[in-house]
Amino acid sequence: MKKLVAIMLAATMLVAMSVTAFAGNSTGGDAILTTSITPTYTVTIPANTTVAFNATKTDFGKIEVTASQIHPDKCIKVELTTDGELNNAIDNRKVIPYIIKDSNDMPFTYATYLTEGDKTDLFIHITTDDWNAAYAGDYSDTVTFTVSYENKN
Amino acid sequence: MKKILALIVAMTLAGAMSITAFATVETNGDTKQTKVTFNVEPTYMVTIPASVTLQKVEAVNQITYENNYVITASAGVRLKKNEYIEVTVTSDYEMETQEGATLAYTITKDDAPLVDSIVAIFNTDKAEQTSQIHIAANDPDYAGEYEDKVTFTVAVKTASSSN
Repeated sequence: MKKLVAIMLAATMLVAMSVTAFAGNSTGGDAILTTSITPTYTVTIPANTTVAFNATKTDFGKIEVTASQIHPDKCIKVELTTDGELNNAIDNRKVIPYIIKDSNDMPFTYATYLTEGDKTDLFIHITTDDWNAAYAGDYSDTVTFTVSYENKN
Repeated sequence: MKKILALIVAMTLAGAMSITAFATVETNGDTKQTKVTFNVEPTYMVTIPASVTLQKVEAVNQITYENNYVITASAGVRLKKNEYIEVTVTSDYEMETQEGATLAYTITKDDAPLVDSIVAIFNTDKAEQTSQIHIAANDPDYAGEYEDKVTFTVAVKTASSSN
């Protein structure tokens, strides 16, 4: 009797079970495409320059952006720092004043650049009077160019 | 008593469970027909990755941003005969930064432009199926975080049959 009941139970359960088929449920979806471009830029600055004796205007080269991939709301700023005096090698208290100007004859302190090819031509200006007042000897000075990445305006 | 109880429980269980009713056809020797039917629902699962990031690729005198993107149909795609799954893409093909810089990109498959925006076709198959597309962009003028949203549409299509 027990075996009969067990068989009946088993047969009943087999018939009663159902298998669910999962229908296709994908209708599509969105995907986000991204890429990150790190800002890069290359700026060339004037090299060492020799000023000829009595030259009132000497070509000092140029500041130029030779490569640039920056944010649209940024700029490259180049700032020039100098004390404006060539110092005598023997006695540094003996000086020849000079001014660095751009091609518009405006004293250059800084400029901003946006893209490759942007540049500023520079010139070293020494007056005739300053040449005439100068002591003999070798003179030199160091100018500093500071390049920075800034917001526009 | 136990045996009677067990028998009652068994019969109750049998009565309570739902079972498929088998129609019976009585015959006295003539030929009769019994219709047998069953339905198999189409099944498929297509996976669309949520995102992809283009990576910098440096070649001689050239920089690009590229990556592959794989769409997968899980093992066990089962459709009706002559049916297939078609996945298409909708896009303006242009990424943009918050500052407004834009970057055009292309989507190709097997080194060729997409045809009718189709990025994948899957058929009935017990094995997993994949379809790879390639996304590429040139080196942009501006730096920044570029982003775009593309939409993939999955549809079951019927192939035209030729008798």
